[in-house]
Amino acid sequence: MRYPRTDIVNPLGLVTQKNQYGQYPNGALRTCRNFVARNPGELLQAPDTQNLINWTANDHTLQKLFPLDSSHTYSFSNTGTTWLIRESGSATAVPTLFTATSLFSATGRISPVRARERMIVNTLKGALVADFMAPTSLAERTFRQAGLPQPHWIRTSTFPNTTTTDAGALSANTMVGYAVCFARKFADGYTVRSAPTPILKVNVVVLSNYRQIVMWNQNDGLIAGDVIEVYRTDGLDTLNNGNPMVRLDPGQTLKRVQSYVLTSADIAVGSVTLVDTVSYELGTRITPGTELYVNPFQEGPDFSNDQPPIAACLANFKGYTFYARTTERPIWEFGCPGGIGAEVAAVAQGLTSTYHRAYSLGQHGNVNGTSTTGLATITGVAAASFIGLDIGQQINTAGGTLWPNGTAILSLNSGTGVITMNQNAISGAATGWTFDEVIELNGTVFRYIDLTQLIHALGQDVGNTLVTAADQAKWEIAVDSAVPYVVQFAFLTNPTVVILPGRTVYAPASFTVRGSNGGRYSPPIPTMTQTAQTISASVRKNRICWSKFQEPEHCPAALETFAGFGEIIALNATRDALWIWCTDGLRRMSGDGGADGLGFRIDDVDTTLILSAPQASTVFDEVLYGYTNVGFVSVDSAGNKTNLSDTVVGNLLPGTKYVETRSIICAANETDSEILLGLGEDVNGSSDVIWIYNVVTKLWTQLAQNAASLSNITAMAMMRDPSAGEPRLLFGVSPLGGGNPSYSEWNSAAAFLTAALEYQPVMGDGPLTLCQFSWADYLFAVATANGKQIVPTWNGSTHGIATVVDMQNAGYARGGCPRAASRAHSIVPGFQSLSGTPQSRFQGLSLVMSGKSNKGKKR
Amino acid sequence: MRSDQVLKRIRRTGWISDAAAWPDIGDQDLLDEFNDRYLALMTDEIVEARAGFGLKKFPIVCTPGVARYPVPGRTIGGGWDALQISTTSATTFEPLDRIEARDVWMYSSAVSPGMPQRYCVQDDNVEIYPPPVSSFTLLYWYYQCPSDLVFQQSSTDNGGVVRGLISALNKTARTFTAIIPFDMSLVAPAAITTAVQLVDIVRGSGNFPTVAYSLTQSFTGTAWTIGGTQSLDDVQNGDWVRMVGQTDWPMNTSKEHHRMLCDRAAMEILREVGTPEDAAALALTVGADQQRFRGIRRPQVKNAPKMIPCRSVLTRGKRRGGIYS
Repeated sequence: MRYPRTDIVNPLGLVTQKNQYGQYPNGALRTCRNFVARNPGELLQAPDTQNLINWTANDHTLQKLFPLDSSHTYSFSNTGTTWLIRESGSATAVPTLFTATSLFSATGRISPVRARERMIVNTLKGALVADFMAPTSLAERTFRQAGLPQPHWIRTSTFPNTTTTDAGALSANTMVGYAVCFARKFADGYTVRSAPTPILKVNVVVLSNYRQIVMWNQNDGLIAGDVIEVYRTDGLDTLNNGNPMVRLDPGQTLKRVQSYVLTSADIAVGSVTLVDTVSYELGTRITPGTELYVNPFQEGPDFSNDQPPIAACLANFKGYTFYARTTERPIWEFGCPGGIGAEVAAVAQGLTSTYHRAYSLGQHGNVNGTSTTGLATITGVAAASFIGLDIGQQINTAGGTLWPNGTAILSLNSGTGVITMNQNAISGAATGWTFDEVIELNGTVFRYIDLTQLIHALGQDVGNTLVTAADQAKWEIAVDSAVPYVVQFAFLTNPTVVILPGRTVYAPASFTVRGSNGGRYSPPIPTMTQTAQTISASVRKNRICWSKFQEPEHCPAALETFAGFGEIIALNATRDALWIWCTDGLRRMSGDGGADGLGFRIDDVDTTLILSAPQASTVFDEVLYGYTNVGFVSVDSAGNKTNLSDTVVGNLLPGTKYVETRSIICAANETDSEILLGLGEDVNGSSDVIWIYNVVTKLWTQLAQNAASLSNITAMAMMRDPSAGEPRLLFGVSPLGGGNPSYSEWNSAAAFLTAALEYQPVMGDGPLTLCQFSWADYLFAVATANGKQIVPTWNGSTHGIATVVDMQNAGYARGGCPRAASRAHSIVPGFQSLSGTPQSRFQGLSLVMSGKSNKGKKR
Repeated sequence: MRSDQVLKRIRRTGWISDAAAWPDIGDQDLLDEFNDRYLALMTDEIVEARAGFGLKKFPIVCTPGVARYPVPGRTIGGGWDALQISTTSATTFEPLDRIEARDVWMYSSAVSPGMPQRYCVQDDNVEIYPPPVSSFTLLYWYYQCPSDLVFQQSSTDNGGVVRGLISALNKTARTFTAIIPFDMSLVAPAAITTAVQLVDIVRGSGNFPTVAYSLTQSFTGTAWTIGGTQSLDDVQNGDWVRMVGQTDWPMNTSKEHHRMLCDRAAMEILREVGTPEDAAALALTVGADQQRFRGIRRPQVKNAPKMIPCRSVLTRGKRRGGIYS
């Protein structure tokens, strides 16, 4: 018998927003739970998860998953400020100063990338690197800080005229410049090289081999096998070029004269003494060797291999690694209007002692007075000698024979001519005392005679045993281009000096500074009796910088720009664009970097399109997807925006304003062309519902109401290289409440979720015509649901059980309409509890009714 | 056809074969439909045909001087057939003549008890005239209302459990052995209680009649004793004891007509679920089957109780015919 009043209602996926006529399109679904829309015209029972990886970390929230090779996956979880990094089921290790406390962002800013077969992940203390993509031991799961630190370079105490028994490599009466950098070459050929030290000019008086002491901090992460590269300029004839020495310029073209491989013993000591034995080319003062990479006509001085900054977003694009929303290390920049250097050097260069005492920083000498054994005073000091002395300055201790090392001025009384020290004299003496200037950085006092020795002091405060190993060599120093070279023992007039923590991890937020004669700095700093000044890090929310080409850990100062005027929320890279989500719109960076890495441009794409959260975007098939303030959108490479939720599920996915939260997560299932979105609607910010948009069929479905392994979802990631099978998506879940986090693989096993769906109201014969609905035949692809039992629902209520029976060409299940709902203008058919294997393919629903006008209408 | 087989056929014909898919058309709903249609159809066919299917007799001992006695409660409406009286023993009965109510006056006033000659049906009672002078035995003849078809307990098929199968029958002692049957009319069917409910004894073959009915009972374990004096002559080993008014088979109808009854019930289902086209199509089949059913039953009609109207004395002699004319 033919039923002229039969509706065939193919499922269209979720359509929850009425059209302009107040109705839903035929086949619109009100709920579509645990289905995926991978085939046209049918819904597939969604796969279940398998291979659960969990670990005992009560109440940890799994914030990020990052799959690598052969199913190896890094996960980042926290409870409060305590963080844990796991590699699959195994523990990892981080550098000493990267303590687990407040290591990562808890608001969705963990943004690892894979570059040069390494994982680089941003932390709140700087970038970390994992060098193995399929680690098998704790050693291989041990992170290191990205890049190598600038070495701290220091002379010997007998510099400059130290002569060894060697015949000598450098001609007498020449000036050369030295610079040093670290390098590490990995087994796979990947090389990391540090920024070079500032150039130190050395005046060679007699034929000599020259020694340099290279220092590093114990937390710099150097390991045996790392290389110290020593570079030297060509020599400059000092006899025929006149004085003063400070004016002579040996140039900036440095060539490698030594590569020293660090040993474990060196690492334990924290420094190494190197001897330059490379002679000039015969008959010249030309230094032979490979040029330093920042030489003129090489990459240039603006392209030193600075370590990556603290950044909130990372992405790879065109061979470059981008770091956005950066926090720059706190920087203390100062000038010295009265000059800096030893009084004796100033006098030697033509200034007067009176001038030095009145205005200059550095060692003050010729303070005549008498000390007494066992007393802390120096008496008989002339009033004029008090000028330039300041509390905190440290006395020359004669190698610790007259005063204990580090003895400093406690008080000054020019009226009585008494200087009171903070320690008692070891041995009394009547002599001309010298006092060294001090600065205190982050509570550690460093003494210096001149700028050269300030560098040395920051490396190792000679004679001051109060400086611990942990505080040695942790500061970088640079001098402005007006005085491009730091000259040994020279008095420098008004150089501009920059001091900053050598690595981000040493002082990511701020450091404090004060010093003797603080008023002589420009701008002034507090004296040693005043409260120290805090120098804060600079958060540049709209700054984006990037690495050198294929050198993800080398981030020169030249490679930076700004995107908009707000804050960068996230980065997503496609083939032709790096998409920059900002709080003031979406921007696109394009270009390929050119020869110098500067060949990029940023264009505004949509100044009103704002991403809802840092992890609310993803990329698939060269199209950008994101949950934004206007809903769920796609943006193609040309910048064309399409709102995928509006008019379909726009009432449920209306979009939200930007919130700094981890809760909204988005990922692409690259195998099945699906974009998955979780809104973190659960109380702990996790997602029990995952929205799925299939970019091929353009249909929406959901994962919902699932067991523990697929609820409280807090992370999603595509695993492209599982140990077996096809690429698959990972779901990370965080039940909290005493539960442990875990993650598992989706779409990889012949196990499927319990599915359910409901149509939107189906009109019998228009919204005002009463019909009697008889039953629904649920149609499945043959051999996909035979024997399965589903629970039909009508108007949201379950009613009976319908068993799927395979006919020749399809599987059918029939559910009778309940009397209470049968006579109505419309009805909401559906079903629940489609479970088990194989994967069922629901193809439609035939709704039988009577009372409809017989127009031969067939939908 | 057992009730579970009946249900299957109703579901199949009504396109609701999968009971789980039609939870608000449960088995009891189908049995209700079946019983309703069966009663409507079969009482008509039985009474009209008066072919003896379902005809029962029921003896009652008169009380001297009392004229009015109740009609057996399980009589089909309009299914009264005859009343007989035994004057000397309970074995030989003479028919009483039925009179209409308008003629009662002639026999009921100032009449001394004697040998009853006539009776009149008044509501659910009969009055005999004159009132009996002695403890005569009255014998009712009536068409019994069919018992309700309930879910079977005579087979293990389709979820059934065998109960009530009579064996070791001793008609003299009025005892037999049977597993206690359930009262299937309960929402949660449960075993009947000794000495509480009445029981019927039904036959699971032929026309599926009730061979003894409305019996008092007592049992201990599976040992039964039937009370009262109702004859158990028709009872056989292999019959089934059931809660009064319940049976596993459509009563008083042979198996070949059961499907017709199923189809008739299915028509109601088809109409209820909103497919009147199917109901209309099925009606053709049911109509034809019903015709055949009648064709089989009607030729067996022997004689309807003869109506001999009693003429009013006011009109006596003005009409011809009749024994009083």
